[in-house]
Amino acid sequence: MFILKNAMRNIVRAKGRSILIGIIITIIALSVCIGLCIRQSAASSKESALSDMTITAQISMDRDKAMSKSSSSSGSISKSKLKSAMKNSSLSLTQLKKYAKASAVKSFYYTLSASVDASGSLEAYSTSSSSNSSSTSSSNSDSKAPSGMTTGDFTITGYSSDEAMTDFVDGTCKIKSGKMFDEGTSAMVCVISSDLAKYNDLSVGDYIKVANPNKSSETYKLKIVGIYKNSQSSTQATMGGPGQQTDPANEIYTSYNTLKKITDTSAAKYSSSSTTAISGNLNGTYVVGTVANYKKFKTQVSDLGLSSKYAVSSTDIESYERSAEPLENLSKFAGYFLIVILLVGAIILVVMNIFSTRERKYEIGVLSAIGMKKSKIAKLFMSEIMIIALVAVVIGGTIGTVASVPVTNALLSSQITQSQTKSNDMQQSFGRDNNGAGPSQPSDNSSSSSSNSSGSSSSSASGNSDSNKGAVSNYISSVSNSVNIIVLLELLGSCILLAIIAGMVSVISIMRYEPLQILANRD
Amino acid sequence: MEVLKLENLCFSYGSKQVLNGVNYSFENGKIYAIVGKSGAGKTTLLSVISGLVEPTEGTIYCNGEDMKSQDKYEYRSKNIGVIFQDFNLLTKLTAKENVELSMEISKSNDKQKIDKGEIERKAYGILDQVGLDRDEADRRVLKLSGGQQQRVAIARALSYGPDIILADEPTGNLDEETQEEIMDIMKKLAANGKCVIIVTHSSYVAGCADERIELKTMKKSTKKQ
Repeated sequence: MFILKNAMRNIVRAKGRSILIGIIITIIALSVCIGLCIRQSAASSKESALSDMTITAQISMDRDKAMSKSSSSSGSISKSKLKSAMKNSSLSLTQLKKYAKASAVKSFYYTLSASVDASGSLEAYSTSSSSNSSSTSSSNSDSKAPSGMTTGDFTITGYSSDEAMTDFVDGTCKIKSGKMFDEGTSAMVCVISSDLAKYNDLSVGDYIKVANPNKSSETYKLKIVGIYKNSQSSTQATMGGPGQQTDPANEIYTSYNTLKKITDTSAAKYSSSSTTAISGNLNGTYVVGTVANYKKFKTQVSDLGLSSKYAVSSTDIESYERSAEPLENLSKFAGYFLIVILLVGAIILVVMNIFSTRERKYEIGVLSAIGMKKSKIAKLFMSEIMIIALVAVVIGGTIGTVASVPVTNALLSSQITQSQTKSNDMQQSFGRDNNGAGPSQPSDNSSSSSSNSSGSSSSSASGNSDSNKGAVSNYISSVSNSVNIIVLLELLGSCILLAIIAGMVSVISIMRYEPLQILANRD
Repeated sequence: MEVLKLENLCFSYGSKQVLNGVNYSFENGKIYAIVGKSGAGKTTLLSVISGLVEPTEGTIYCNGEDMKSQDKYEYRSKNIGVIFQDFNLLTKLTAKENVELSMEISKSNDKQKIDKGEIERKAYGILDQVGLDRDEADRRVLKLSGGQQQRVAIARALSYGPDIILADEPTGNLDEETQEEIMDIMKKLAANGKCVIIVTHSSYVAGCADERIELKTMKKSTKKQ
């Protein structure tokens, strides 16, 4: 008590020095508080976003592994090895169902998608900007056959269940007229977009004819049972689609059994070695719910015998990570900023305390000469800086708490702008219009994105008129509350640590000083 | 009664021997004047007795107890009161606060409860004894004259009631009239049973002492009554 009372008296007596040290610690506390808040925001927004999400997982070929296995010691890739590795890389439905038995899986659904051409009076919906690429790919398909991966006018997707139709589940798509086909039906029915219906003057009850893109004489007739409206004008592959760059209006939805019937019928027409038949791309989606379950699922599938050439991935997590990229960058920057602030703060406080202790050398000598123990003098000096630090932390922490959210959001906004500019510059470097589609999309995109089964909200160029706008809107652009007890404790801990480091300078000096020498050399 | 005894006390700064086998006994109720030429070791002797430096050899007994067995800080804040030539007061504090702080340190070392009101009352009382009124007691020491500052230093040395008062040239910076006033205080202290040991060059101060000790020879000469 004696020490604390005298420390308080000394602080009040030396107002100038106390205020100066207080201001420095307040600035440090304020900066540290904002830095910690940014880091906390990033961590908590990730945690809450992932906990709010229903995580789904997919199993796909590990392309990197296949590539590395196919490369020779000199680094060149053996194409034949790669082709054989990629051949039959898709898992069968039986295999997919086997992994759905893992305890981490809450539910499982799958989709089959295929590319088909328009036939008869049906025409694929096209806009002026995308008609070129569509017609190019369409016209090229005949010449490029027999690849078996030819991109047709439409993407037809067959869904195993209603749950698999995520765009309808989340409300992005809604049936405008008619109704959705029955779950699991094998009848030749389908649902088409309102744009396509309007473009071809089609209504519920009409029939459309689609053809094998590799053989136009092979056609299939589907009855329209419903017309849907897509509220998002995006070309992103939706609802477990294969990721083909088809206009969303040209997406035809049907049941898995219906499409399976079409692919099976098509396959029966050709020899097993032929690639002319309509090929379907099967994708399984495992609903695991949480990140913890996702991790569990990864280990469980290998226990269930999944070959190491396959990898488990989650487009939800990947999508979140891309959207949180600016916030993560800001968090990293805040981490470096914190280190610099603490280092600079420690240096300033230590230097100030060296001068302050030298200035108070005489006081130390007198106190020691009249019987005050050195340990008590050291405690007195340490208490003084601790009291100032505590007051400064309260002030700095309060200001920091109030300022952290607007400062974080302002910095985040600048980060997003930077990311946007970078993305736009990249688009320009590739000769693509910032707001428009690229003049030429690689025609083999469908094969390269076979694993990308659900909608991604990435900022990467997808060659779509709204891709960049979509990317910006999907970034985490603001945080609401970032201060919690952990931040406050970390703030308090950091500032107390700085005060201890600075106070130790005084303690060391006090222990070294001899009162008689100080008093004898008073000048 | 013997309160302080020096036995074969030696002190050297490196190879330079300053004190060589000093033996002496000090009694309470008396004023001792330690005299000698400059460099004879007067201030060093005072520093050794006050526990500010350790003797290289020999023993100091305070009230029969070997000083080595005591904590030197407790010894300084309990058994002896030191009055420095340059006063060594804390200039940011008032006269009263200087005295109070000294009392608080002594009580803190003794682990006694510090009663702010009692300490304040006592501080004013001691300052009054040495001739400083309330107004002067509440002034910062820098605003006091040299004589007043010396009185504050004496009050501080007396504040915790030590048996021995050590004074290093207590009148060195003062005019003749103030010297007399300070020596009157010293005489009163001795009359009240304190052992007052003064290091001085002043013949006036030496003349006021009951015993005069010339350091070089440690020769004792008693004042003729």
